[in-house]
Amino acid sequence: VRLATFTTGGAPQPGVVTSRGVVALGDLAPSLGPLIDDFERLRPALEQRLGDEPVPGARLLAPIRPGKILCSTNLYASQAEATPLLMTLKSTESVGEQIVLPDTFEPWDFFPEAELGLVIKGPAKQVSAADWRSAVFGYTCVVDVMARGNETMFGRDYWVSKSDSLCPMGPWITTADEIPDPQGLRVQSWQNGAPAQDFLLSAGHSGIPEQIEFLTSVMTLRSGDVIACGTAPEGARPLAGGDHVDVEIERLGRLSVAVTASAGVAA
Amino acid sequence: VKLVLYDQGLPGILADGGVVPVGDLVPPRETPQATMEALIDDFERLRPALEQRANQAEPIPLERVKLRAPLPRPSKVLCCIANYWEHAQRAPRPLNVFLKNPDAVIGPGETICLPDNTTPWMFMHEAELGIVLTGPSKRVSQRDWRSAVFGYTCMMDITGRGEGRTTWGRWTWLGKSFDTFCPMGPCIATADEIPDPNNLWVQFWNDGQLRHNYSTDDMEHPVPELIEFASRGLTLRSGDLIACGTNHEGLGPVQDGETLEMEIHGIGRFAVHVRDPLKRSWERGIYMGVDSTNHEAVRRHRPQDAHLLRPV
Repeated sequence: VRLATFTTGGAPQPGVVTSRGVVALGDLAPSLGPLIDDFERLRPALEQRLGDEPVPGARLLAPIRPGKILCSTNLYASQAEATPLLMTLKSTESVGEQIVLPDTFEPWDFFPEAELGLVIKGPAKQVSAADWRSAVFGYTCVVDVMARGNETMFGRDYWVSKSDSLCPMGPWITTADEIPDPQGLRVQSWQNGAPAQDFLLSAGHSGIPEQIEFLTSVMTLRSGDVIACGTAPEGARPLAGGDHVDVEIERLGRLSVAVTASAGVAA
Repeated sequence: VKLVLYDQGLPGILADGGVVPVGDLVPPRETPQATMEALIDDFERLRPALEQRANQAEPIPLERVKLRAPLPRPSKVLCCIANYWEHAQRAPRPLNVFLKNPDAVIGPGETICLPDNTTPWMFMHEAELGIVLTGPSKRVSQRDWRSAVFGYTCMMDITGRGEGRTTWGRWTWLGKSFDTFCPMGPCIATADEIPDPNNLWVQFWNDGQLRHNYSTDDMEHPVPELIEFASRGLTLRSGDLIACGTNHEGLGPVQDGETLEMEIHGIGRFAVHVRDPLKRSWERGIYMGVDSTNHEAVRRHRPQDAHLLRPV
């Protein structure tokens, strides 16, 4: 099933996406976080709702506010530049419905990187690559916005990339049972309607099982944490205020995000 | 006042060798972290009642309570990179910050568990001043820095090293995000207790052996600048933490069976234990490798730089 968070103007509510719209699930769980932990028990009740009337005027929000977001980097570098797995923490302030380019002390270019997001079912620690499915609740589309400046990788670009609003995700979470082979998915993006990125997850030099094994050798992942699985950056172009970014991953839907420049920043 | 969480995450005030419960003034929220955040957000209104309680109520002796981390699960832990001059006459370095795993917090008396991941070659301690934030705070100027600061705490930035004293995980800083690698305690000293956060004395002992021993007046980018920098692009929330970085002159390994203790004079003192399932061992003492900034190590490995050192 496809789980979403939506609003009709008031407080965010959990819902399930059907072919006709979004059906409210607020009576089953207050938000998607608790629903992940209790999903198997709630599933029959949830599936009975799939034929219900959708909520009129529902607007989708980021499906979840993760406790932690971890982003894989350099996974699609050429073989010569390939490194051991590298993952960085992104801030929980990164999640939102639009990208607001930060007002920084120095000029940066911001590149929207299209990525597969793994939504975790936890607690997950020391999960072997063979057991990776035990840690995955579902999948979503992620835009991991990366700052690139004239400094080296050792400079501030990773810090600036952790600013507010630079990791939109959505449009919903597709539960893992619907995607037998996520490693075969195709990821595409468009900027202002023109094609930008287009790659197969299978082209990365570490797969989902290896990323889960590596990360859970370091830290406990909790339900609702998100791993953004890296990107083949070719095709991504710098953002400007007024832009529009779309990310589509086969069978996971299409995420559309508007870009604005923060107050005080020239467009 | 000095605020604590104790036992099941109840709020209290640290006073006269004990804890004065204030749970009736600050009703517990869904998590201990949320309780402390509510206390931070409502502090000015609560202050007279808290102070009166601290002066009048009989504290529970410390032996009869278990102190917890004062911020058990911040939404964000920001850590400053290499933010002390370390008594060297060198070019300034630009300020930079990374995020540490906010699920890694442990409190006084708890145990750092070294991972059975064997790719880091050593695990080290770093003793740091922690700034406890009040928010939401965004785009705070240096002049207004106090508006974003609720108080201060003691924090150990435990670190897995890749090679030398380089953090494991290259520029991702992931070597600092292993579970249990963020010990914090014993209390939050509210900002009014600390007239100048850049004039504090930080000490750290490993099994009684003094390692870190420095003043925060050596900080390269002082607290007002940290607040301005951190809040420029990122919204800081009540109960978030900025760790100010350490003076690396006192770095050293942590290993199985040790007890680590730190004190920031005027804030408090706490200890944690270390357990290593693999029972690895390293030479005890301050790290004296070729990239150490300890003055004796500099004289040994880089005699050409020795004239740049200022007295500690």
